[in-house]
Parts: sequence; C-alpha cells; structure tokens
Amino acid sequence: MRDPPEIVGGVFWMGRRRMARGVARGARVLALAFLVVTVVAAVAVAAAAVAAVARRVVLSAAPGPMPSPSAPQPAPIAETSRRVPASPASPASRASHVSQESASRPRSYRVVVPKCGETNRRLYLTKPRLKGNDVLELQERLRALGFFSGKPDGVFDLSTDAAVRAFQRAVDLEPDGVVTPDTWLKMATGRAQTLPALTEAEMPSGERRIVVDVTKLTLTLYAGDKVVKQYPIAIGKWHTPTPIGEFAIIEKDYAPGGAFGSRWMGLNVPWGGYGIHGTNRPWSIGTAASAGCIRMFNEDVEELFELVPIKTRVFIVGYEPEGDITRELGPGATGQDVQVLQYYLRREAFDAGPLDGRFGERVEAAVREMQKFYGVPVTGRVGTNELYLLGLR
Amino acid sequence: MRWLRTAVLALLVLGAIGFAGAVTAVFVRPELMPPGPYHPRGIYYALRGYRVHPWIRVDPVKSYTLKVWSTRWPLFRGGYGYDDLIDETRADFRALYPNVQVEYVLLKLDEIGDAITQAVDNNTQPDVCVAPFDPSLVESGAVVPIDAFMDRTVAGDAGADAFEPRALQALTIEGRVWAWPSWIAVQAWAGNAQLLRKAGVDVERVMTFGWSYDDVLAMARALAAQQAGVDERYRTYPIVLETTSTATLDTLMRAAGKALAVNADGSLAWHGASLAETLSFLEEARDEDAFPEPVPRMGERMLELFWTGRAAVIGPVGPGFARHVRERLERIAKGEFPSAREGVEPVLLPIPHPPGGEANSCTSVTSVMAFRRPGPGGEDAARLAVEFARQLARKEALWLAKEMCVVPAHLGDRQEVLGMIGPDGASERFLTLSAASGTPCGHRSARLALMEKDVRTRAIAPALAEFWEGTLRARDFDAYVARLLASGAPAPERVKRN
Repeated sequence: MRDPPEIVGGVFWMGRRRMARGVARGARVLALAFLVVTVVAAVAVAAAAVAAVARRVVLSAAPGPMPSPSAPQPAPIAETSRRVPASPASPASRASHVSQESASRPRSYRVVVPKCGETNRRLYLTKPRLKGNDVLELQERLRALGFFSGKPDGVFDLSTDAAVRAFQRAVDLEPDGVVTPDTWLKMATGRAQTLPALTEAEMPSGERRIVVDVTKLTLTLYAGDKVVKQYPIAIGKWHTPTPIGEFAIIEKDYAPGGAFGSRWMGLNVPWGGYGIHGTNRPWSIGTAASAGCIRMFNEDVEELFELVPIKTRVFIVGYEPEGDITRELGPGATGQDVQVLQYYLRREAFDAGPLDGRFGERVEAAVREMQKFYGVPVTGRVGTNELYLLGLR
Repeated sequence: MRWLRTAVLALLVLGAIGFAGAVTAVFVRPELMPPGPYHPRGIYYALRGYRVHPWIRVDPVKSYTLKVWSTRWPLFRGGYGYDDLIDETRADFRALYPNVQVEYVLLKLDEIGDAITQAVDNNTQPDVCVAPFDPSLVESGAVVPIDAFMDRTVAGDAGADAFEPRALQALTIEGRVWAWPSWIAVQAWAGNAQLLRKAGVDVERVMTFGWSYDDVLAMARALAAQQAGVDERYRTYPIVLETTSTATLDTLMRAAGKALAVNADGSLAWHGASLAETLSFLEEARDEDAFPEPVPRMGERMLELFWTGRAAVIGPVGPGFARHVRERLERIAKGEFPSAREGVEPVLLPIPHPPGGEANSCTSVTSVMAFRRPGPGGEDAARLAVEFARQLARKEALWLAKEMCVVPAHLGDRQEVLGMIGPDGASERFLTLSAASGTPCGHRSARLALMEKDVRTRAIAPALAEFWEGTLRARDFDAYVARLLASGAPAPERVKRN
C-alpha cells in the first residue's frame, strides 16, 4: 500500500495521531508567520513616521524668498513630496538676492514650491506602478538612446525597469533600476548652451520683457523694442499645455534642483504654478516635453535669471487660449475662462488688457463698452448675452 | 494837357473796370487767385463773420500738427480695423499737405462726449473731434462753422446739397453749420420676422409705416394664445426689453414725440398723459405675460432668447447689433453653430408709438467738429482742421456703414454702401427712410442738457426701477417722480451754477 500524501488531499488517509501532529505543526507555522508580518508592518510604520518628521523639520528650516501677495498659493507641500533643494548658492548670495527683489518684505522661511507638474521623485519599479509625465519622458529618452523599445506610455513597468538597468550598466552606474538625478544627468548628451553668454553690462536700455513663442519653441528677451537674445526652450505637452497669455515674473529661486534645474522664475498664472526654469533633461529642449512650464538649459536660465527682475512681463504667445466659459463672470473672477474672455474681447477689438486671467477694472470697462456698443444691458458682467456677442454660444 | 488828363482818366476807368472784372472773375472762379488775405472770396466770408474759410493761406514751409480725437471703433474685419482707417486718412491728407502731421487720440465710446465737453471748458480742445453733435459746445466759441467750406466754388461733392437735409439741420444753429455730418444712427428694436408673421404681423408694413402699442399688444396676445400649455422652459416670449436702465423708456418716449424729459423752459416734459400712456402699455404687456421673468433682469437673456427662437421682439438695440447679426449669420451658414435654430430671421423694427399717433423716428447724428485753438491767430491750422474733418467724416461713415446699422450722411456715399446697411434689405430701407425722416434728439443748450441728466438720474431711473420691479404702478409714476424731485437731493454742481 502506498503512503498517502501528507499535505494536500491526503487527510482522509492519515491516521489520527499523525493528523494531530500535522495540525500542531501547522498552527506553529501560522503563528510564526503572523509574528513576522506584524514585526515587519511595525517597522515600516515607524520608518514612515520618522521620514515624515524629518521632512517637516527640513522644510521648516529652509529659507527662501516670499512669494508676492498676488502669487498663486503653493499646493500642499506634502502632496508631491518635493524636497527643499540643497542650494549650492551661498546663504549670503541668496540673502542679497532676496533683498534686491523684495527689500521691503520681511525675510521668510517659506519655500517656493514650483507647481507646474514637474516632480523630482525617484523612479523605480513598484506596485502600484509609477505613472506620470516624468516616466513618459524617461521612456522617450531611453528609447532615443536605444535602451527602450516599447511604446512610451508613462507607466514604469517591467520593460522600463529593464531598460533603466541596461542603461545604468552601460554608463557604469549601479544597475539598481532606480532613476535618480545621477541617472537623469547621465542621459544628457551634447552641449547645453546654444548661444553666446550675455551680461548685465551688455544689456541695452529699455523695459525688459520676455516673449515665449510656443510654436517656435523660443524665449526671446527684449529690452525696449530690441531683441537682446533668443533662447531655445521646451514647452508643455499637448495634454499639459503651457498657458498662453500675458503674465509677470513674481518669484525667483536659486537652485530649485532636480527637474527644475538651477533656477526657477515663477509666473503669476492664476490657475496654476507655472514658471520658467532649468532642467535636468536638457535633451528635451526644443520639444513639447514639460508639464506646462517653460524649460531652458541650465546655463541659459542662469543667465536670464540675472537679467530679468521680478515684475518682468512675460508674453506667452502662439495659439488661442483654450477653454469654455461655463459660469457668470464678474469683477474679481480669475481663471482660464477669464483669459478666454479677455482673448475674445480683444479679438473683437475691445481693450481687455493683458491676457492674465484676471477680471479687473480693465476687463469690466471692456465688457461695459461692448454691452453699450451692441445695446444690451450694461452690467459689467458676463452672462449669456455677452457669450452670444463674443460668438461663444 | 487836356488829352493827358483824358488819357489818365481813361486809364483809371479802364483800371477800375479791369480790377472790378478781375475781382469778379476771382470771386466766381476763386482758383484763379491763390489763397491769402486779399482773396475776394476770403474777404467776402470774413465780412460775414467767418474767421476760418478755405481762402486762408496755408504756409507750405510751416509744419502743422493736427490733434484728432476719435473713438476706437471695436470693429475688425478681414484684417482691416479702425487703426488702418486712420492710417489711410492720414496718408490721404498728407498727399495734399505734406507739411501736416496728424496725431490721433482714441477714446472709448462712452468717454468721448464728456471728454470733449471738459476739454472745451478748459480750453484744451483738439483740432478735430469725432463725436455725436453736442449743440452746447457751440456756445463755447471754440467750434469752427463750416459753411464757407460748403461754398459751391470749392466744395466739390461736399456742398450743402450733398448731405442728408435732416442731418445738416441737426448741425445748424443760428443759420450756420457747425460740423461735418458723418453718419446717422436710428433708434430701433429688433425682431424675429418668422415669429412675428406667425403672430399675424405684416412685418414689411411695420418696418415702413411703424406700429402702435395696440399692434404690439395684439402680437403679444396672438403669440401667447399659441403658447397655451407650453412648458415655461420652452415658451416663446413676445417682448424682451432692456430693463436695467432708462433706455427702453427713452426710445418709447422719443417715438411718442417726447424725446426729452425736460422742456426748453426747464419744466418736466415726461409727465401726464403721454408718460402714463407709454407706461400703461408696458404694464399691460406685463399683465399679458409678454415678458419673461424676472422682468427687472429680462434684458440679460435677450440674445439667448432671440437666437434660440424664443423672443419675437427685443429692444432697444444699439448700432452694433447689425454687425452681431451679420457675423452670427455668417457663422451659422458655415456650420459653426450646429444647434442654431432655423427659425430666426432678424429684422430691425421701429419703436412702437401711441395709438392714433404717427411713427416718430429718433436719430442721432455723429459729426466731425473742427476747433479753433485758444488765443489769436491759428486760422491756417483751423482751416486745415476743417478740411481734415471733411475727409475723415466721409471715410469713417463709409467704413462704419458697412459694419453697423448706420447711414452715411453724405447722399453720394450712401449709394456705395447700399446692400450693406442693416441685416437685410427691408432693414436697410427702414434705416434709410428713418434717417431721412427722423428727428434728431438732444438739447440745444448745455444748461438743459445738464438738467436732463439730473432729472433722469435723480428721479426717472429710480422710479423706473420700481416700476419694473412691480412695486410702482403706471398711474402712480408721475407722483413718485415729483416726490423724488422735490425730496431735495442735491443737483450736480454745474446745474446750480447755470
């Protein structure tokens, strides 16, 4: 007679004693497993708590320029876990810069948190899979370098992991599959700066302003009516477009680091934190690659940073502002729909001021003028009549 | 010696005859002599009191700069806008006078009237200004009369008989014409011809001969009868009016022959039977459910209701309405509004008048005025200003008439834009007819203009707001206005001073 199987399906063949032994052994194994799992979970929770406390401590201690009152409020800091950059600039230079830009403002320890969707996170294979614009960029770059043969889809999956490891091996990095700033930098090839450098002394006189053309992928610095210099840039992808309109630089930050490169200049776009910044992905310059911000070579953005003060006007041009007006708009309203309104008012030759997405006095005056011209009730607000007049309904 | 005396006398007589002949010849054909202080025509006009006339010499080596105030018309079609019109006018004038620079200041539509009044008060007027004619400016002495430039010997096709007589009449004070008439705007309501026909209205007849309050109410009743049982969301409204200002009452009172709230003697004109009749008409329309709710804000939906085929009549509409209609119809034809209703046929309509009365169109004439600069001299610059004003008046009218519901005051130019005025042929006929027969509205003195403004702001507007809210009945309106006026609210400073 053959021995009955001990584990599965053989319980009816076991003797009573052997069965009792088996049950006791199973219980011991279960108890041990439970203990191990509990210990591991406790350790993980403790580690997470320690990390959170450490991050809060670091954030609260980091100095930085205070955003102007009109600046959009930064997103909750914890959301994107964006760390305060370890600034290479000396504290003295940073302090002097802040005092130049906002001499009358008190020093603040608030952090400038760029919000254009760029992230500085480490990328690696995990569950759930990491997804996003940065993964997409990684895949596209690895593909361009010949390490990734799949279709870039913005999901860090097994094939991406394999491509990263292959790349790391090829450039003598530890093939751990984790994409760190070092990995990004290794992916850069070619020169970064494309134009001769410019200094403050060489700047012509006149109001300085920046014109970003999203169709030509250029950023042009003007002084008065003279073109001072034109820089190549990267703009937002089609699904995260660079906002069109007329804005101003409202904050500047040395060395934001990571995806933001060596400089950050925030714009007063009312519906999000967009800015002009450097990059750790210089190959993307000349493409639509960002999450909406304007990316420049680090050398270029460092030069521009010194040439344009806060309040410099930035005109982002290239195509019509997109969006729909689905609410009644009146004085005080802000948003992309206000910018659409401004654009259409201007297209109808009513002076609605800069396309800054703010329903101020100038927009109200333009609305009133339009209402008077067409003979509809002069309310200074935008309702259905006005949408019909502007051809939006 | 006798022969010598005779010879001298003969010479003198011949000389005198020759001189008289030469003067007569130059008087008849002024181009025979260059402009200057001894030009016979110039002397003739100077003796008649015209300090500025076409025979004042313009120094060809002197540099002149003309300052022009105008309105930046919010019109842009086919890559051509008002700025282009300015550049063209400027270039045309420089071809005639290369030593003349023209500087433009463009003001907003609703600013230019007050701005020019203020500038004239402060002696800082420009050389030329495009604005609705304000007779009170003439009192200042800064406005240059233009009759001499309509002289048939120099006017060319800009003589007095080349303009709409009603427009010239509006610009004439004490026998002199004070500005070049440019274009005429007619007050109108707009309607959906298809809906009106469904309600039994002979639209073409109304556009030609006008309609009374009774006709409008009959239309409202007919439409209401067709709407019985229709859900509120899909109802068609006979009338949608502007109720946030006095514009609706203004147009109705003007059509009733009472254009102004204040009489020439300063007494209140809007009271008694005529006012009560007009307000009763509105009240009755309200009682007939002719208006959409909420009545005090119905005007804010007027275009939506109109373009979705749910409003038979909307009003009043401004001169830009034609442009809106044209643009929208073009886009509908291109298929840009797939959900657009087929049954919307926009037409311009006269403002209804009281029963038994006659259709009384009210027009406003926009003119181009030339001003003298303060201080002695400057007649040469003023002459240039008048000539530039003439050119600008015609160019602007031609351009605007192609874009808006306005009629050029120059009869010859009108031929060029026929087929472009108004949203359709019938509307165009209505506009041209009204421009020819309408009465220009407006006070002839600054004092009355200010009193008018005061009465409207202090009494008429608040009373009308109550009326639209439904808290004031037509029969009580008079008494309420009188109470407000008597309540002692302070009048504007200038009214007191005058």
